Amino acid sequence: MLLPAAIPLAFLGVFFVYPVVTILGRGLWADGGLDLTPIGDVFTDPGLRHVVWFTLVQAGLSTVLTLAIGLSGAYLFARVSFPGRGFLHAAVTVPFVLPTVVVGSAFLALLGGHGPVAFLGLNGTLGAILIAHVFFNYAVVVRTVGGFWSHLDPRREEAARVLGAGRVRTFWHVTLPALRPAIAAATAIVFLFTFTSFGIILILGGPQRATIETEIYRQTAVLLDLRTAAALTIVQLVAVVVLLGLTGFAGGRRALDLRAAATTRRRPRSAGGRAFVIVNLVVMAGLLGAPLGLLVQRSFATPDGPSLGFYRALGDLGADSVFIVPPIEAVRNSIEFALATTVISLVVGGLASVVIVAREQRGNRLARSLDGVLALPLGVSAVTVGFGFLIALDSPPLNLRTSWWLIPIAHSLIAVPFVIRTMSPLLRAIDPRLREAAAVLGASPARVWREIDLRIGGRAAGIAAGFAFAISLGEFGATAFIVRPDRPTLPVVIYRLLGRPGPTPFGAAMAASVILIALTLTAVVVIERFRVPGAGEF
Amino acid sequence: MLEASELTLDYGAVRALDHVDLEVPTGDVLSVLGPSGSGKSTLLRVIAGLEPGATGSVRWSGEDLSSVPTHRRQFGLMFQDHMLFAHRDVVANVEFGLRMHGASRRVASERARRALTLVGLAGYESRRTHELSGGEQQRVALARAIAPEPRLLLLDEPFGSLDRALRDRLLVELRELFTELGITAVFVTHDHDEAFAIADHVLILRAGRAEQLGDPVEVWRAPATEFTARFLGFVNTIDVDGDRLLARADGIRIGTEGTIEATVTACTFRRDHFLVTAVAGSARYEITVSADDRTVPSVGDTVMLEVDERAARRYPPSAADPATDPSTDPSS
Repeated sequence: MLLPAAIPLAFLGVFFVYPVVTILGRGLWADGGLDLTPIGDVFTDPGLRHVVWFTLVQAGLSTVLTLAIGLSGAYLFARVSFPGRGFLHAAVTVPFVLPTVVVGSAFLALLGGHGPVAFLGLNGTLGAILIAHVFFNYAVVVRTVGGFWSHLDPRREEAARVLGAGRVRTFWHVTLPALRPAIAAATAIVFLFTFTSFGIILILGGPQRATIETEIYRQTAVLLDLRTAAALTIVQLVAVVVLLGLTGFAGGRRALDLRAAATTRRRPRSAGGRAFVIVNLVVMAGLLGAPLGLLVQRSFATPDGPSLGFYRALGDLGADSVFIVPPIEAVRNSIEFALATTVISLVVGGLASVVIVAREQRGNRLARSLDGVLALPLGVSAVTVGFGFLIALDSPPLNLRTSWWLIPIAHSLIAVPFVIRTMSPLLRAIDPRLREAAAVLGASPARVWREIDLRIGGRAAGIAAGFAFAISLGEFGATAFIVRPDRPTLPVVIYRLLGRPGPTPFGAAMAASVILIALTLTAVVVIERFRVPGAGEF
Repeated sequence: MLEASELTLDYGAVRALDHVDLEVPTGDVLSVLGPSGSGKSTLLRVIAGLEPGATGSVRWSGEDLSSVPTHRRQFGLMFQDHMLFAHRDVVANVEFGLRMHGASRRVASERARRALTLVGLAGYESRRTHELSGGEQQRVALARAIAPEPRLLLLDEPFGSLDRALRDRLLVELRELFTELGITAVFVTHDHDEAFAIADHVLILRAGRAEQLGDPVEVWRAPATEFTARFLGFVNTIDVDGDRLLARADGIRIGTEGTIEATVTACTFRRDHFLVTAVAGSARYEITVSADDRTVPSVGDTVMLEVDERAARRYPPSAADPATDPSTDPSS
């Protein structure tokens, strides 16, 4: 049991703890002594103070807006039965697995210069960021709260109604308190995601709208001020750790009266009920469908009419100064990086899951902390990972700057927590008596492992592989710091294309986004193939 | 023939099994009966070889099995909640044991289908296990257990999760199947009716110890200990001449010859009989009165109670021992 635990811990130590310690050194240490001036500057410099303030405001507003819109969607999926429900439930999840860069370009297509709602003047405003964040996180609220809601016994609400409570009071006094753990969890996740949002802000925010994350990138890549970047990273780290701690307190309780999901759904009976369904469907279609539909349409809408021109342009743009290689090569790079990420994160995350589940079953309390520790890179943001790699792994003792493996390793740090979250519930679900049942039927211990553990674990690994692959394909925050110009990934190419003037790069960015969506959906289809009915939460 | 002796197992400080001896002749069915936590399931697990910490010996036809691992014992075990393999369909579940014993794919498939037909599930071969009802899952578990033709079948409360009517039907089918296939079985339950309906022998367990092993009718008529008597429904206690007389509800009659004067506190109709509750001082009696009887007492009546010695047993007085009272068991 020592080796399986040692590999994930060593991986985390070398590729996460060491870079973070290096960041701490850069930000807190100067001339052989503790120096807090860079940290102080974050709160006194008017420009940086505004960045911190804006980060909090946009995250807070995004969270409130997402909850407001997502809760009615959660109710819809939990309690109302309507035609096309199953398809729509899968469809609303799509934005969540989309790369942030793709979401950014979709909204640029919608709100920007030639977009159908350009007259709203939302391009480059806080409004654009908020809408994109709602788009991205809608699924979090619908899935987390809706999933929980559908298992709440509706007879409790009926009991309140019989006792004389009206609809509103029933919702306020009975339903809402019961939903509290799920709402708290969704709030925490959405706030964390929007607080550390990078790609969307970079693309939609324009130069004036900077958050801590984009400012770390600007300080590093444009101003080359690594000390300030380190100080910002430290502030962000502290904020995220505090946030994660608060979440731990909020999410503890679980309602007990849970029921099978199918029985709690009813067809709408009143005109108001049907109107509610229709309004929700319009919101979903407008919010979720329009940007993606437009993205696809724009990728074909060349100045000379619909054609594959922009897709062809991906192969031709290599000659000019910005791109050393034709952007189309990014497709191969992204797939190769994603495959390597899948292998690394399956080994690291798979071993960690096995250790965690085995320890839990022996009543070892360290299991939970191992799970928490390995989730850290996910929580503290991809930008921290990328920045840490940039300043820690480019000089002895560990110089990986030119290594091809740098990017898959960074992606794996982000994918491992997902792998663990996917695999450990499935491994945990192996009832020890299943092994006994196999043994009584004549299976030797080796055969039991092969027939039970490997079969179920293999399925879990298939799902986790799909996630790891999709995460790597879309990863942008960490990649932006460490990518090499001759080996760009698809999100990097999309970002660069969006930054260039003219219709052809913009159209090519749309085309690259469509390719990225197609690749990501392929990974999602793989996940669905491995899913067992009734297992897992994702 | 299964012979087990001195089976003992400790879970930490708790003694789950305490020197249990038993014997099941080939082709017979032994019911193990006892309240929750009396060690019934543990006994099956020890016989199956699933409890490495157990001491004592398990022998099959004289062969000592202590060094034979579970998967080579050729026993079958039906778990309380079936433990079907969710990642395999119905027929693959049933084939599993046959495949483990080296049957070819064709033979395994053929015999699995036959086992499914035997339990009334022909046509269910390619169903997923989670699509099945509780009764169907139970049948698949049974088919899976009998398909490799185990020399001993162990059943752990196989009907635990099923409703009464289904239980009664399956019980009859199971008994017929056992007879037809000549199966040797150990059947664990906490339900008296189940235990007596299916068994050739009954073992009463109490806190890990064997209280009584015998023929069902004999155990029912003459419980060897006060615990067994109470567990089997000897609910009335009458102290006579310094001895303690225990009587079933049908062991007390209401009549003029009676010697105990009691007041009726409740009278409930149970289809074929009335159950009358009466108190005399601190003593409380439960008496059955035939539904055909025209003189059913009403609440508040004073009645005279008479003990029918044939349905009562006499035990030496014992010190008050809370563990002796099995009435806390919800199923009794």
